[in-house]
Amino acid sequence: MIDLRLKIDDVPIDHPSIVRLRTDVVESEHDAVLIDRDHESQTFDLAGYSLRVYCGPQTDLDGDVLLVVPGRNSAHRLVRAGSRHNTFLVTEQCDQLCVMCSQPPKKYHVDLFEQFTVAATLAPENARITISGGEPLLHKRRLYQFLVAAAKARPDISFHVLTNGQFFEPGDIAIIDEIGRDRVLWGIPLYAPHAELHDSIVAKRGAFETLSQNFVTLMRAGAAVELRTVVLQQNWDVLPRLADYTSTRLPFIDVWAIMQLENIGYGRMNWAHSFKDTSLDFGQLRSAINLAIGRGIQTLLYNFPLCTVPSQYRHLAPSTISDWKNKFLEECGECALRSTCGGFFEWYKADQGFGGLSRQ
Amino acid sequence: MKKRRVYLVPSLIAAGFMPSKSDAAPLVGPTKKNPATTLFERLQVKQVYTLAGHSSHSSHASHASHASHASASGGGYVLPRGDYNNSTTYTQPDPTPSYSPNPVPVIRSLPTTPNIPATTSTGSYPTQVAPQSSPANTAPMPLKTLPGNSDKFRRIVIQVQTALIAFGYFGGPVTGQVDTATRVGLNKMQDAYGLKVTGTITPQVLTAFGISTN
Amino acid sequence: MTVFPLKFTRLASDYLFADDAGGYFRGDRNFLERYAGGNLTASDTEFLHRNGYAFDEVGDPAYLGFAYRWAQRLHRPQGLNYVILVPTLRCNLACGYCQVSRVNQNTTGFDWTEDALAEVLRFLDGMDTASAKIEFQGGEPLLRLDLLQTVREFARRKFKDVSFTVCTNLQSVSDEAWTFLDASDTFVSTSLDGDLSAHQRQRTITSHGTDQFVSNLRYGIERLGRGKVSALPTLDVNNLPTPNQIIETFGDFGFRSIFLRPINHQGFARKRYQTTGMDERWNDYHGRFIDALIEHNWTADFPVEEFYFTHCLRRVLRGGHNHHVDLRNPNILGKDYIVIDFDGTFYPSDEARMVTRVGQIDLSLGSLWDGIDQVKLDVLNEEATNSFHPDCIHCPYQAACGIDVIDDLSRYGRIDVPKRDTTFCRRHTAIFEKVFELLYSDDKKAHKSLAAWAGIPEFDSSLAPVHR
Repeated sequence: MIDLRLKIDDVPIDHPSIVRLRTDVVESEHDAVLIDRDHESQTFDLAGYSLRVYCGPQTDLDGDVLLVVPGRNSAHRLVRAGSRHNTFLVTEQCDQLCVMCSQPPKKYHVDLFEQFTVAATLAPENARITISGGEPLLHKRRLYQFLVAAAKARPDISFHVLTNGQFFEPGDIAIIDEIGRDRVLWGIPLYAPHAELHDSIVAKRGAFETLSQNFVTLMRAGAAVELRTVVLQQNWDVLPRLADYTSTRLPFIDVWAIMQLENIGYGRMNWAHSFKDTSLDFGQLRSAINLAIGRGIQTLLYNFPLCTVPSQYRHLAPSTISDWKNKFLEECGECALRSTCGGFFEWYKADQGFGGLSRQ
Repeated sequence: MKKRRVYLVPSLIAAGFMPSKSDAAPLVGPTKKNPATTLFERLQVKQVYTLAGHSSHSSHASHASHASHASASGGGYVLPRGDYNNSTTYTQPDPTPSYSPNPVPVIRSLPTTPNIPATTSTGSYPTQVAPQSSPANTAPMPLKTLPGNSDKFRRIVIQVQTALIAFGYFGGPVTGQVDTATRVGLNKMQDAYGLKVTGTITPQVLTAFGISTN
Repeated sequence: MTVFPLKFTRLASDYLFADDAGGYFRGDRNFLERYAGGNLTASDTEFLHRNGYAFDEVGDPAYLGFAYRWAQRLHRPQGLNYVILVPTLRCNLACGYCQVSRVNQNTTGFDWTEDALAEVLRFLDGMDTASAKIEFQGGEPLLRLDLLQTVREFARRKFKDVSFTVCTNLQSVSDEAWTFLDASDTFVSTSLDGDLSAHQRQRTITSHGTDQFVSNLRYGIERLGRGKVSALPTLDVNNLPTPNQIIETFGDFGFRSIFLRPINHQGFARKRYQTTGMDERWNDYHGRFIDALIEHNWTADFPVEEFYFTHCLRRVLRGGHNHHVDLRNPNILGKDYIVIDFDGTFYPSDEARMVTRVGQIDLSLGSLWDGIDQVKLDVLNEEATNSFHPDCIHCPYQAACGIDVIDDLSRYGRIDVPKRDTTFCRRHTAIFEKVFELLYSDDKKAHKSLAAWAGIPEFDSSLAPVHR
C-alpha cells in the first residue's frame, strides 16, 4: 500500500496550493527544487521557503505534484510522476448510494478545480488522469471548465472520468467536442438490464431511466464510454441478459469492464450479501463474456486475481488495481502468474473472500 | 502511357452502369480538428485507447486503465472545518464555489518571476503552455494556487526581509518575494547564527527572528 | 412496438430471420405467418423487443442501438492508406494461372522507368495519412530489389507508421533480399498452392524448383519469424488436393491461417454452364474443407482457420469487421486503397488490373501523370453497395455480405446480372449457409472451432438465438 499523502512541515499559505517537486530542473513557477536530503526527509526550495517533506531517502519524488492545504502537515500526492494511477478526487458529494460504493458520499463540497487544472498542466508527458468522486458531474460546469482548460494546455494528456451518468445533457455535446472526443474516457456503471434491479443497487429511483437517456446523448456525441459492471450476488443471474442488452442497446461503448467487488466503504458493509465468489462459480460470466465479445463488444475483467479466472479467460484480466492499494497474499508465493496478476485490494479479507484461490 | 486497345466491353455504360450523377459527392472523413457534423460521421469514429505502454489493437490484449475511487483513508483532501464556510448539500448541483469567484476559465497568464534560477531543461516535463485567459480580463491576476502568491506567504517573507534589514544582512527593498538578494541575506544570517545554510526561509530562521506562521 | 423489417430464408425445418443491422434468429412457420399477418403474440413481442429486433419509440434506446449497429455495418473508407505497387511485371516463374500478370524475366519495357519511380514517390508524398500499408506485387518484386528499397526508405520518412508486404514467389532470394526482409516493418506473402504436388504442378514445374521454394520458405520462417511470413493457396477447381493434404502441408510450415482461393480464369469466354458447375464444385469443396478443419481442430494443439470463412463468421456475428477489401459494404473503389501498375496506371484493385490486361474491359483509373479518373470512379461506385440492390434487400445475409463490382465485371462483363446468377453471390450464400448451419448445430467439435474462429474463449448458445 502506498500512502498518497506525505507528511510535511506546514507551509504558510491561505488557499490550497499546488507544488511540483523537482530534483534538478525548475521549469514552472509551481516547481520546488530539491536542496537537501537526510535519512528521514527531503527539503525543497518553494519560492524561497524550505518545504520539508518527510519520506525515506530512496523515495523518488521528482515530478510529483502535491496539493498543499493551509495549516496542514500533510500534502496530497495528486500526481505521482512514476505511476500510471493518478486520481483527482473532485468532490465527495453524490446523488446515489450504490451498494458497493468504495467512497461513501459526504454532504459538503470543496471546489479545488483551479488547483486540479494547474496540477493537470504539471503532470508528466502523456499522463492519464482519473477524475473521481462522489459524482464529478454534480459540478458539471466547473468540471467542464477544468477539462477544457487542461485539455487545451496539455494536448498530450487524457482523462478517465468516473461518473454515474445522470447529468449529461444534449448541450454537453459541443463541450465534449471542445475537450476532444478522444481525450476523455467516461467510466459509467450499469448493474442490470432493467430499471428495478439497477435502481435498487444504486439506491435511486429513476436512475436507470435517466442513465438510458444519458447514454443516448453520449452515443450521439460519439463519446468514448467504458461501461462498468460490478459482479454482485444481486445481479449475478442477469449478467448474460446484461450482455445482450449492452450489445443491442449500447453497441457504441469502447469497452465493457466487468469488475469484482472491493471490500471497502459500503462494499464492506454489504459484503456478506453482495460478494459473489466467482472463483467457485464462473458460469454466468462465461455466457456474458462470450456473448459480448462474440458480438463485437470489447470486454475485460477488472480486479479479478488470475487464479480465480478460468485459464482461457485470463487474457481478459489485466492488472487493474491501483498500485497504491494493492497487495498479494502470502499463499501467492512464487505463483507463476504473479507478474501479470493484479493481486488483491489492500483491504481484502481472506476469511470473507475467494474460496477457490490456488497458486499456479 | 496507356495503349489504345479494343476491349470486349467497350465502356462502363455498355456494362450496365448509369452515367455518373454530377452532384454525387465523394465521401470525406471528418478531420481531426473539426467535430463531425452528421450522426453517421460521429458513429464511425473509433476511439483508440491505450494503457501506458500497451496498444489497443488486438481485441484481447488491450487494456483500459482501471481507476476505482481514491484512497478511502479518510476521504477528500480538505476536511470540513468551521472556517471554510462552504457547506452545501448534494441535492444542489453546482453551488457557488468558494475559491473561484469568477465564473470564467480559471487559468490566467502567469506573472513573471525572474527569481527562479536559470536551468537547462533535460527531462520530459513540458514547460507550461500559456493558458487561455478570459477575453474580458486582460490584466494578469496572480494565481492563487501559487504558494508564493498567498497573502500569508508574502507576510512571512516581508517579516523575514524586514528582520534581515534590521540585523544588517539585507539591504532591501522589501518585496514580499524571496529574490536573489534576499537569499544572499538569508545565507549570511544562517551562517552567522550557526544554522544550516540554505538560502531559504526555514523554521529555524523564523524561530530565530521570533516570527510565527499563525 | 415496431419491428425492424425482417428478412428470412427457409431452412430444413424452420426459418432463419435477419434484420438490416445483422441481428438474426430462428423461428418457425407459425411465427412467420404471425409476423406477416400482424398477429404477434405477447411472447413474440417480448422476444423481439428484448433482443433488439424492435423498438417502442423513435429515438428510444432500442431504436438508437439499432441505428448504431446498422451504421456499424456500413464501411466508411478513410483516406488513401493502402497502396499496391507493381514495380515490374517480370517474373522468374511461369505459373499456369498467372496469365497476363507476368512477362519473362529478361523482357525489357516492363519495369518502372526512372520517371515512373519519381512519380510514385511524389504520389506517396501526397498521401494525407499518418499510417500506411504498402504492398509490392508483380511479376516478382524481388527482381527489382532496388526499387523496393527506394520506396521503403522514402515511405519510412514520409509516414509515421508504415508496413510493407512483399508478395514474392520465394524461388530465388539473394542475401541482400533477405537482409531487406529482416526489417521489422516488412512482411512476406507467398504462394503455397495447397500441397507440394499441386504447387509443383501449377508453379514450380520441376522438383528442383519445388525444393528451392520449400527451402527458402523454411529458411524465411526461421530467419524472419513466423509472424512475418504468410502463404496463400491458389487452387485449381479441377484438380484439388484433399483438405487434409492442405491442412497438413500448411501445418508443416507452422501456418494456422489458410485462405483458400480458386483460380479465377479471366474473361467470360468460358461458357455459362461451366461457370455454374465450377461454383458448385468449389462451394462444396470449401464446405468440406471447413468440416475437415473442425475435425482437425478437435484434437490439434493449435486451431487452424480458413481465413475467409472466419472473416464471414465474424461479419455475421458483428458489424465493423471490414478488414478485408473484397468483402465490404459499401465497397467504395479507389478511396482507401489503389494499385499502381508497372507503367504508372492506376487500378482500383489487382483483379481490375488483370481484367483490363486481358482486354475484357478497361478499368484503369488514370495514371501517375494524368491523375486519378474520379469521373470513372464515381460511375463504378454508383453500384458499390448492396444496401439498396433489389436482389439483396430481401436476403438475410445482406448485412454480413458485401459487393464486388470488379468480380462481376470480370466474370460477366456486366454489372446487372441478377445477383443469384453471379459467382460472388453463390459463393457467399454457400459460406453464410454454412456459418449458420454450424452456429445452430449442437456439435461440440463445431463449437470448439467456432469459438476459436470467432475469437471468443468458448462458444455460447446465445449466439444462436431461437424463438419458440
